[in-house]
Amino acid sequence: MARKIVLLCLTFLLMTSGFIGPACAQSAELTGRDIALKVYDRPDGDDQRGIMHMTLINRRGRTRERTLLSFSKEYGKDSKSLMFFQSPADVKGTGFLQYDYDDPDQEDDRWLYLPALKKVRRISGSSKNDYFMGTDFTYDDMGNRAVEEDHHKLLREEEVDSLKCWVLESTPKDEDYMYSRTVRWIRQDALLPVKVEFYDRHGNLLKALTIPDIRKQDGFWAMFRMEMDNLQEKHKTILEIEEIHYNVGLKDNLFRVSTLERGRIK
Amino acid sequence: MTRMTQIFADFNFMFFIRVHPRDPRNPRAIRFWGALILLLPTTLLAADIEPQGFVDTYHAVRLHDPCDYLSSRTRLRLEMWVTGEEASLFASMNAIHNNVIPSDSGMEFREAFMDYTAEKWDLRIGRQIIIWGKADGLAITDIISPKDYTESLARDFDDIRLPVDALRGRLLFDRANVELLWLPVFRPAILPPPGTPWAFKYQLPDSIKTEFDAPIEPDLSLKNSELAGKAAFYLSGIDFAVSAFYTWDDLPTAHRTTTSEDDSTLVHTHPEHHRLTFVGAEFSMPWRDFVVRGEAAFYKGRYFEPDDPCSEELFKRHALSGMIGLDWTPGNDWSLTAQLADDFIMDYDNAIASDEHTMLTTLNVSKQLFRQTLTLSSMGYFGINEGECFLRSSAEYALTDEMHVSVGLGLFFGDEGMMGQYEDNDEVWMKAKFSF
Repeated sequence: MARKIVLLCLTFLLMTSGFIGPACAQSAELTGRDIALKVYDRPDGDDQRGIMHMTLINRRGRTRERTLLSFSKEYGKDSKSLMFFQSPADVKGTGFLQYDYDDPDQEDDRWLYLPALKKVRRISGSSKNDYFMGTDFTYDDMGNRAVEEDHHKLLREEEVDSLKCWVLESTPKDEDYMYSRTVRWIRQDALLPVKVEFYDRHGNLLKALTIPDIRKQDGFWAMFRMEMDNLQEKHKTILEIEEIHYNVGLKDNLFRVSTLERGRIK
Repeated sequence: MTRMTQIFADFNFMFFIRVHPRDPRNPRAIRFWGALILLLPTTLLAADIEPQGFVDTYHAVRLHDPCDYLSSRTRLRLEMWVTGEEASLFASMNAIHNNVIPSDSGMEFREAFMDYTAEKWDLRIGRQIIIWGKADGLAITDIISPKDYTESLARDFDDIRLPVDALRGRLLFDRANVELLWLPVFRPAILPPPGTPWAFKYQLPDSIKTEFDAPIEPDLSLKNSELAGKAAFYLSGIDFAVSAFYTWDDLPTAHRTTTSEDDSTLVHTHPEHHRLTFVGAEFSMPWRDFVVRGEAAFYKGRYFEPDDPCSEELFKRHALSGMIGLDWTPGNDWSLTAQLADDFIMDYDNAIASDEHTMLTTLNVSKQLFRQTLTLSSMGYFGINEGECFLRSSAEYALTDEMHVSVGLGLFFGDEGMMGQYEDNDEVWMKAKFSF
């Protein structure tokens, strides 16, 4: 379980939000890296509270469900995140707290609460290439991969469902990374992807992510539905945001180990 | 001295101790709490009601003749949270049917406590399980909740902590908690009942006859309360805590009176719980894919048994315990944990039954497969002093999110000591659990 929860709150924040900013500059003036930076640095409010539901569908059509309650707050370039599983029953009450530091030399602080153990554990940095809770999303897929970890190339501009997009190819600097490249179709108005393709180390298409529901919420763009198809394993994950609110005024004392130790949150 | 090692190191008197008569499986109380949980008029409460729980069934068969059942039990756990804005209530109970150890069967009133949470402090009042420490499967600083050793090592460590009646108050800071505990009623550990597969084995010469009294426990009075305090810090890159506990030893000391008659000896044992003062420290420090954990404890004036079963002498000594552990999560759903623990008796006397140093190592390896629906794991305890080992391996498969089934093996190696004594208890087991 400890391996499965790391980074989730922060990534939840990152994957669901985008600032409604002014119209973007013309792509002719932008490099691939410029676009990657714009996506990475988009403002997303001082804090947020949300509920996320995940449906896992295997090749036989069998489904499994996960529901998470999540809170996040930014402190300058640092952030704090807290989440609790609401379902399924065997992990209900499992909680995770993370302090995420912008300084790359400072390791993030992470704690996990397991209700069966009634105990908070300090946990290490999880492998960002691991899949989260049996879904088709790795931690990196869910948003927090640093811009500097990849080479970025603007392939072209094209429209998807009449929406203007940049098509951005990112190739990892680390040759051992699980993807050889990713291609993202990024909406120019929302600075959020509407489609992503993930290619394995052999250059074959591994997964395809589509985001059919991007809407404004509390003044920010948010992704309300994501569908990740693992084409090689015939497995699919649908991630739905049941509820999301920005700038709700979360108190600092929410993000304490003592909150985790209570095993729940009202 | 860790409870796990202490209990076996001193097992030369334990075989006679019965399940504690004040075990709170009081039918009247159970009926009351059961009715409260099931029939609480939810409409009268301006709060969220969240019922949850599980049913599990566990059965283990001896791998050697006579291939009898070593464990066979089914349990229903009901839990309920009632949550308001600042105050909340939690209650849980067990209904257990145990075919092998009938005294374990019945309704068990488990936890029932109230929480009040303010911005800078909180309170938890009632029957609760309190867990300290950083170790897995070893209790060095984790000594607030006593342990239930009814099935010794064969029960999951998560299941063996017993709730205590306590008032817990905490001062809350962003990076620290200061915790004070008052336990008005002492609760002892529960040991394997005699005559059951997990009873402690101890062979005495035929010339020694024995008589045993029930353990003497502290009276129910204010002066016999237990007090504890802990300051815990959660800093960038490290967690650490210091703690103290003015308590009673959960395990009774076997006071003996020896009478010689002709060519035999009568040993009359009258066990008694004694006061104990504990000071502890713990830390946990992540680094990349690793977490280094450690605990240390000092026990002031603990009683130790003599090696000679006819000796009336007891040894009151200070003792130190320590543990260092390493967790490694290399990715791809692998997890490895190793721990080394040592119990040290200060001012040692060779007449003491326990060794001056008692060393134990543990190793746990687990791997998840098939989208984390199958978990393979193996936990090993290795007793260095006696050259003994207990290996518990399992395969758990999630048929659905709610229902999991497991099969496994429990193997004992060695002739003596805390694990070697069960060398005839090698077992294969199965478990099914439905959570709701």
